[in-house]
Amino acid sequence: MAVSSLLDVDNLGIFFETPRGMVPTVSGISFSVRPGERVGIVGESGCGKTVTGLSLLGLLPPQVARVSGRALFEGRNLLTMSRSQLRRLSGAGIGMIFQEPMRALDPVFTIGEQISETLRAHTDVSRREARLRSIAALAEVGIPSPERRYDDYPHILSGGMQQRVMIAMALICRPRLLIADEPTTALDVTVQAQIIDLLHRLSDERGMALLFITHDLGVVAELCTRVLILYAGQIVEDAAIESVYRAPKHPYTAALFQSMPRLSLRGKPLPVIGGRVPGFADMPGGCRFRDRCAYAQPGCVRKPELESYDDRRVRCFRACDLTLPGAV
Amino acid sequence: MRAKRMARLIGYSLLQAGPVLVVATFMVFALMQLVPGDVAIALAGENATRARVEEIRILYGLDRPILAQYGSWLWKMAQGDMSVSMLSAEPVFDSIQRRLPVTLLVVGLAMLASLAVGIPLGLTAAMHPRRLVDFVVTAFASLGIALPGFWLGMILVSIFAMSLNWFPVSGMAKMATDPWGAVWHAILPAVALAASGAAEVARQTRSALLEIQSSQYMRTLLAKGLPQSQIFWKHGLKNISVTLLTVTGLLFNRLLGGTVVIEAVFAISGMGSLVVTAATGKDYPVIQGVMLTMVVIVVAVNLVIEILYAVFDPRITTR
Amino acid sequence: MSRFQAIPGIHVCLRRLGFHLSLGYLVFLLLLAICAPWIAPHSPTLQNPSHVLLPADGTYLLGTDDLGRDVFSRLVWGAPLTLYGSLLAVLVACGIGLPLGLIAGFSGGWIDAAISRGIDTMLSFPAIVLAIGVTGMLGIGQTNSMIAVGIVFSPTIARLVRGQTLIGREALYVDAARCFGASNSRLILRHILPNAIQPVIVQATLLLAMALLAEASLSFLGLGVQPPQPGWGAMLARGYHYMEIAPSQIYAPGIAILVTALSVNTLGENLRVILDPRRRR
Ligand SMILES: Nc1ncnc2c1ncn2[C@@H]1O[C@H](COP(=O)(O)OP(=O)(O)OP(=O)(O)O)[C@@H](O)[C@H]1O
Ligand SMILES: [Mg+2]
Repeated sequence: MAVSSLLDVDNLGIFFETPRGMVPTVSGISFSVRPGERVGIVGESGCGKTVTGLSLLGLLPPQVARVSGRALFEGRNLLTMSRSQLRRLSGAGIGMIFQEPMRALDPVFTIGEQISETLRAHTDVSRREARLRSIAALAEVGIPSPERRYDDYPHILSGGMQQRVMIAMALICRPRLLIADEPTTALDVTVQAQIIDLLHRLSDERGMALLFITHDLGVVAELCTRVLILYAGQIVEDAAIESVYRAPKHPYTAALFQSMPRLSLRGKPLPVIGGRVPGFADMPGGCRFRDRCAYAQPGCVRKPELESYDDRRVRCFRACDLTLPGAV
Repeated sequence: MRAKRMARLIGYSLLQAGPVLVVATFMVFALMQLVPGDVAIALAGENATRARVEEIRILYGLDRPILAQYGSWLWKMAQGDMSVSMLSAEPVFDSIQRRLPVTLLVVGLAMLASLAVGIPLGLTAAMHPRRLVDFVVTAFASLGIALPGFWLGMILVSIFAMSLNWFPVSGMAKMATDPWGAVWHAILPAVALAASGAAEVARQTRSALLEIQSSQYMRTLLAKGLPQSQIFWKHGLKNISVTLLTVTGLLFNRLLGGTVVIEAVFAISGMGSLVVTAATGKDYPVIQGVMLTMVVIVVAVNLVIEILYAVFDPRITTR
Repeated sequence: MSRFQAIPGIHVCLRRLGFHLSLGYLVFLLLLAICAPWIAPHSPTLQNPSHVLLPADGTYLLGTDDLGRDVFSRLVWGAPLTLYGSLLAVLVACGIGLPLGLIAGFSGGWIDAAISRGIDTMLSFPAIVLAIGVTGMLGIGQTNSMIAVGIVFSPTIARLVRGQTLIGREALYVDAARCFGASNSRLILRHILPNAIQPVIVQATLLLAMALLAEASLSFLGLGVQPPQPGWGAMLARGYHYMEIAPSQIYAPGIAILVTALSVNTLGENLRVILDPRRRR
């Protein structure tokens, strides 16, 4: 397993220094991504998806964030490697795209310049060559008349086009892994579908692995082969898409499916998960979901581990005896 | 396409500056309305005869509607006729022409000093947030902003001019015949003036860089694997230059005002001493002339800055 | 990584210390200003030709000036004068700026355009020059000069209030109140003004520091506090001529101005943090 995996995260923990002390935001995150595999990370807002993604490339604010654990990319630990090693890997081995493309692009440089400089930072190519390859990359992500767009500034493009630029930029050095942090959340639905298709196609064509962060289970179903469900900074379920959709094992996963809008629910109120996510500063011991869980038992005050069942991993004492409704 | 955009922007900025100038000149003109009592009596002097007052009233057109008065006043000003000083009878335009270069020399030097000291300090502080340098720079900036420039001037005089004899105590050399002497004379005043300027620049630079550093595009640049130096010198600098331009404009305005007080400390006969003497002696035409000159200069400088702004920030459009 | 840990703590502590020190100093200054008649050991204006330019000693804590007046007493008496002048300027600035900003922000259209243009234009004048010009027109003297400073500062307040009013006008609760038929003046007084007031307090505090420096400058130039009144700026102007013989005459008033302006600024910066709505839970 360890040999064949591209990314191997082991016991990742992220702490933030706050006025009220060090707060553990993400803890005990372990998962792996195989080459070319598309893995989704799903969870409610604030559960730690973004910080998990950022921590892999050392992008958390250094003044307040502390990271523990291990994250091996092609056998090298991202969390302990030197700044310059990480820099050479960022953009070349691992690409990253973000939620708001408008704010993720430097407003005072042309999009072409921003793509070429990425290429030139990692490979020894001439300006001319970089320009040509950037234009090709723009064409590949479906930007019409790329030669003309090359000299445009980000602000005159639409959100969808800006995200395509981000993708072209992240992929220009042909990384083996792309981390995409809610790349479609800020876009409208049709554009969203186009971007998903684009990522699907590029990942297939290049055999590029994808770590796709979202809170939309529907999108994950279309794009990914496996999904990690995050709750309050922990992985609660890790399974292949089909099995999780057919029969979720963690009550939280099932509840997420229940609160997804569906045609069969037309006219009825959407079920929501009652209660609130506990804060990281005052996290209850034991199972973190138990106060909101319909299947909680007295035993749930103990701390559940992420345990393997057949083809999946679940963090629930009742994973074996529960039969939960899926999405199909 | 760029050239066309620039041409449009320049035209647009000129169009924008027009109304500001009109309102500004009107404000300078309307200042006279603040003079308590009858302006004609004020202009004629307190013990003038009735006939003389009426003569003045007709001469200055004070019997006409205010907009008409403004129109002819502006027309005269535009031709360089700023009327004559009530104290010295010298044409106002001439005194301003004589004194403006001195003031601009001091302000220019102070601008250079403020930017040359303030920008590196601000950048250094922002690059080490919450560290000792940051704290020291922030503390010095707070001190500089609260420091009365004219008082600093006095202390500089007492140390560097009186005790050490490095610089002249006061006055100004003739710029035309002795330019280096003039610069020499302008150094202490410029330093006194620049202290608060440098403090303000350091503060603004620091917060601008901090904001840029916490921006999402900086994160992207890191994620792309750009070298740190390129992130700072290429992206950081171009983004911060936009803020620095704004700061420079405000700084010029501030220093042009500050020099008025500094000139008094160093007994420099520039625009400042001119307007102060005029304010004390109720020399209304001189007050108006100085204010008009200053506001025109500020608007002109802002115009240039506006245009430069558009060069650095592609988001600026004519709308 | 752990080397980062201690430093934010120090930073916060120093910041709090600065806040408390400046608050303490300002309270002290206020008491000093109120009790000046009882604290000052001598009359601030009594001239004594036989005690000219004396150095500091037990009788004259900071020495005497060129007319034999006690510098310490003048410094103490200068506090109420300086504070009066600075507060007057800020009051005038708020008195003009608040209504103008409210009107501009609330009415919109050409009224807003006209007021905004006026604000922009006034801000194009170097502040102190405009203040000197207005003082020259009104006639010199402390009250006139500080009214002038207030007029010059008013666009800052007006611009701020206009922005806040625009935000308030967009807010949901104002729409709701309007649906219930609240009158415009009621809307402004009950809903918009309370939300605009906090940034105005912060801005007014920062303006107070600037007004203090302006007061000193104008008095130094002879346009503000008139002799024989003991304003700090006026003391500097007089002391400057005898700087070599009696340095305390420029050090004491200068330090008084510096420390007061610094404290007011520190107070303002801290108020900004304390009153920041994003900070409140
Ligand atoms: N700089 C920071 N300082 C302190 N806490 C932080 C910081 N950044 C993030 N956090 C904490 O980390 C937690 C996880 O944040 P994160 O952005 O990863 O959530 P998310 O799952 O991406 O949510 P969303 O769907 O809203 O993007 C949040 O609860 C937040 O409080
Ligand atoms: Mg997120």
